[in-house]
Amino acid sequence: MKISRGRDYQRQVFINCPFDGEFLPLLRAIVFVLKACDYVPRCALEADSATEVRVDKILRIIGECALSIHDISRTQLDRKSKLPRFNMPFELGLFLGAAKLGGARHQKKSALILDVEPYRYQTYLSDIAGQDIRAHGNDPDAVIGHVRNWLNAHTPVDLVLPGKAAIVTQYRRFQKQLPVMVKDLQLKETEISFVDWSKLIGMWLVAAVKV
Amino acid sequence: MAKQSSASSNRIKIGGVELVLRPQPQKGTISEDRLRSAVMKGIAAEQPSKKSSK
Repeated sequence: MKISRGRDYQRQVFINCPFDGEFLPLLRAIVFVLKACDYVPRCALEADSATEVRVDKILRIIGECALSIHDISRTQLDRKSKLPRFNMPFELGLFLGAAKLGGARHQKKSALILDVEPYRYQTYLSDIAGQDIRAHGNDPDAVIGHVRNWLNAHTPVDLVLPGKAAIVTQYRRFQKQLPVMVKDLQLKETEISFVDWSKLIGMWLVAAVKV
Repeated sequence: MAKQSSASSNRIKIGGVELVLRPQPQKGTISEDRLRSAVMKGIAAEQPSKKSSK
């Protein structure tokens, strides 16, 4: 069965999540499932113009994306500053605001919200009740399942996405080969940029699971 | 013809579903040649080695 998709806007997915070594396995899983379903991962760390104000850059990317994934699991205080980070809830608010107030083009925007435990958000971000919120338990396989099923709900009915089990199988192959790839690049995993991860995964899929 | 060839080379099949991956348009920091080379080494490492089988 062949997938063919139309306008670019509908396949751009804004990712709003922690960008650190601890979250990297989950971020890789998100990027992997998006690429495996032929969607385009986007995020605020894209290296475009260094002169662009950060919030303007985030708003521009949100404007270019019909879909978004927000991980709000990072609620703990920073070890050094003893303060929480508010960037993820802030960017989620920008996306939901764009969907409600951004005009006709943005009214069908959709957000998938991820947390580590179910219903925990009711304590610290209860205003998001009624959104599509899923718990991943820090498990990349669970992330792949949630993202795949959510994408499927936004894919035209005559098109089919690969199933969770098939994507997880390929993701585990990729993970096994990853140390060799990272060593060859002579970089630490945390030194690889978001866009490079996305390109690496896309190239791996084309080379490793081609028809 | 060039477009057809490119589309064909980006064709993948996962769990019986076939799709053509479109490229990531944003610019990265590592050259595509380096990334592709790393990918090929990773895939080659997955192949069972004759030397390691006893």
